[in-house]
Amino acid sequence: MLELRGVSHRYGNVLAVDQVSLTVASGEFFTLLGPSGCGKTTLLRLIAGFEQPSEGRILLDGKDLAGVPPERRPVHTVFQSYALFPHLTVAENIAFPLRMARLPAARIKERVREQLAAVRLEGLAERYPAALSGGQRQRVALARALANRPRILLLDEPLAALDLKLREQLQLELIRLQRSLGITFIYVTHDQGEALALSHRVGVMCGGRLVQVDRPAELYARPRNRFVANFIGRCNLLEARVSGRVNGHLVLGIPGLPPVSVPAEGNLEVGELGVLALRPEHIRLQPARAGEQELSGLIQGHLFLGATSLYQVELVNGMRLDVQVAGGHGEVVLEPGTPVRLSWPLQAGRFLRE
Amino acid sequence: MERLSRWLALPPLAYLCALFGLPLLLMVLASFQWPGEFGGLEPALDRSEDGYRLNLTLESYHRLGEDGLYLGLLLKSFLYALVTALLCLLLGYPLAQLIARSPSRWRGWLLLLVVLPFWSNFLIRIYAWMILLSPEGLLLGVLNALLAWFGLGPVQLLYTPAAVILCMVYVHLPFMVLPLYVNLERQDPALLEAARDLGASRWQCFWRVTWPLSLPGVYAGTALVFIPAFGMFAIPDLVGGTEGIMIGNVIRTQFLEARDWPFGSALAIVMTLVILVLAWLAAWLARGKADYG
Amino acid sequence: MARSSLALLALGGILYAFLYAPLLVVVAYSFNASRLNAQWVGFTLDWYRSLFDDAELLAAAANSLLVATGCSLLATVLGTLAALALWRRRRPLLSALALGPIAVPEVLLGVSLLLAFVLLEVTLGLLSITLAHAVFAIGFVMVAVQARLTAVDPALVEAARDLGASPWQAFRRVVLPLILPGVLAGALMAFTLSLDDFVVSFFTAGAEASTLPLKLYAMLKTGVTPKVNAVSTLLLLLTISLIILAHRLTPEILRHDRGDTR
Repeated sequence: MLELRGVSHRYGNVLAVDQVSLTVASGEFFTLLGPSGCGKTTLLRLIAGFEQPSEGRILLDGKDLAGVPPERRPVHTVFQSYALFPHLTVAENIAFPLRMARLPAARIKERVREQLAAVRLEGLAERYPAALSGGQRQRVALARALANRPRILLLDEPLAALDLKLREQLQLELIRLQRSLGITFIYVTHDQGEALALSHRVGVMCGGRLVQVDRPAELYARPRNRFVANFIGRCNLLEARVSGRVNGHLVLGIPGLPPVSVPAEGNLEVGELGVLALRPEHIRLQPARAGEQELSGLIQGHLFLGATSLYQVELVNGMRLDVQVAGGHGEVVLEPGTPVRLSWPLQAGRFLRE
Repeated sequence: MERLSRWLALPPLAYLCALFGLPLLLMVLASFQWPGEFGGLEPALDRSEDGYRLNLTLESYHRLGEDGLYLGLLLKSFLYALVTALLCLLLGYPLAQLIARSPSRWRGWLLLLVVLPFWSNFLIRIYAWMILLSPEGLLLGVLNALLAWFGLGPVQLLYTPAAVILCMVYVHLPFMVLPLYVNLERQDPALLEAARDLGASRWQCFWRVTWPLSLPGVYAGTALVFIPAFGMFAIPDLVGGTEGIMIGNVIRTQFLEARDWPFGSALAIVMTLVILVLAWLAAWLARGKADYG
Repeated sequence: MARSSLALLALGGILYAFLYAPLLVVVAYSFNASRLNAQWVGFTLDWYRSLFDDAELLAAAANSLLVATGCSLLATVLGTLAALALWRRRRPLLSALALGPIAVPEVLLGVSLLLAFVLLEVTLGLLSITLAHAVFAIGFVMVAVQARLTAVDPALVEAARDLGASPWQAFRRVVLPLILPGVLAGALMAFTLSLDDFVVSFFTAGAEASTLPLKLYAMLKTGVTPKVNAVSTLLLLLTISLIILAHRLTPEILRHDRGDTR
């Protein structure tokens, strides 16, 4: 129900958003994911109405939003800094959009109470923002933006300022809230873990362009290019060239290594340059079984990460692969210099263009 | 939002252009005009049968330059203002230091106490000194008794240049203290500790660390004292006698008594130019120290 | 360390005494039953009583209050507009014009305004004085409001608009409450400055109009009677109270500290 068609935006000479087209369905939790400066916040501001796109159109339920000022869009924002009005109480903050919409006083009181209950801040109605903790302020900002039942809620990295435990807790609350209210959420973050956990679909952005839009599982399993593969989760990337096609598989030549096969996807030509993408958790430190690919190398180092461990393995041509193993105490740690054999199922490897 | 902001700027801009910018321009123009017969100005444009003729002259500036009197007066005013600024620095620096080093609870109050007299009526402050310096007063009585003890003649302080400078220092002291305080308060005490740790004596700590870092404040304070002091006329008028006259007095006389407006304007403009040059100079000097800020 | 601190403290004490002693002398002598400001003769309130018999003086005082009120209103509105226009934006012309009158010697302001008023055939009187005072008061109000504006998070205005407020509503409901202490402090400063102004009034008053400082000046020039002490003391009390009030209108007074929501 929200549609962006060829939207671009320039700040002076800088192209912050480059020909972005996407559709967000009603009731969807959609996340814009990307590193700082990729244009995701600009896109959010375009949807909210604080900037007008230099090119392209933004349509809500088929109606063009061009020229419609922010106060008349049924779209509300949760700001990164929360932007709570310091001179108003929590209750007055939440009531603000309702007063702007000229709801009768009784309805306002009732709605404010509902909102406070929804974010579980019932006792804090008369407090001022300065007296609240970070997590509480975030919830007030949420309650305030939702008070008016907007069509779309925009969230600009709302959890960035909170510590890990609080962030995880609020993530769960956000999911619960969104699923129960059924309001469309458009969420902006640079944290790929957060994006994968919260969203129905994720749009990855880089340099102002929308690179890939998919469900989180798809995004993780089938990144479209090197940037996405690298940005989402850990991924090994080895420079490779397509040297042939055999039995519906692609054979890749990597300098200094024996040829490796990957499933064939799309129409890739012989001679194309790209990378072999392999996730660390798909590799085992064992000789290959039937139907698996294999390489040899030497253990270089070991990182203990709690539930898992990461081994850094140097291949015969000097390239490095990270291998994830379930790590706990009692396991024998392989010493650097130990020769090992690495294997993975054919399906786990992929060839990606740049 | 940006368009709204432009509309907001319009009323104050219009008002100030009309009542500040325009008068200044008129004064510049006036300095090139002839004085009118009964005071005021001869019109700049003469209407005759042939059309308009420009009726301008450099007469006023000539008079200013030729007669050593006025240049001398400018120089004298400059010196008075300079001495005032230096004395304010001498007195204001320790005061600013004191406030900056005091416990933070007190600072607001101490600062307010320095600033309060500034808000009282300017004439009252001068009048107070007229009382204190009067020949019949206690202060002078004690002073002259002391001098007599050393065999020196009695002095008169009222209606002398000394009184002018004393009053100017008194009136402008808060202007020196404030910028100095702002600067000193921001200085990191760890710097002084580091200096002591590396073997600097107390004097060296001050001279090599505190003082250089405080220079932007010093320049600001000096400008804030010098500029108004330079153009002062009320103080010389009340306590300066005949010797203490400054350029401000002459400007006032030209405008209100002699009614030679072109000449008065020329004087005012030259005074302003001197100030502008000095302000630019101070800004240029302060620029170099900006990295310490 | 302690010894020099003591010296600093002593010097500080002397300097504060230097600042206040003259004023205290004036106040003290206003109660002195002698015509001369030389010796203390006895306590009296006569000089205060005589003030109320002096019609000219009372008229001048009334004029001063009138002018100060007018100046304060004018300067507060224009100064606040200027501060808002300069919020997160550079406007060198506006800044220069607003701060210029404060930076230059008052004589310059006085004579240039006299010149302009006469040439433009504006009658000199209370109105011309009020207009003249506003010229330098605007800068003070602007600075006072700017001090509060810098603490206002611009995201608050965006948030208000995002939640349905028009630009005017956003200003009225979010920005104005937050800058109000600064606006009021500026208004008080403008009032006080106008009340105390001498130099600019001197040139722009014309022949008939008189304000309290101008009357004071005339009294100082013609012959000092202790009435001057009484007037001065009252004036001192008034301006000092106003300024303390303005100083109190800083964030501490109102519950919501600064515009800081983080």
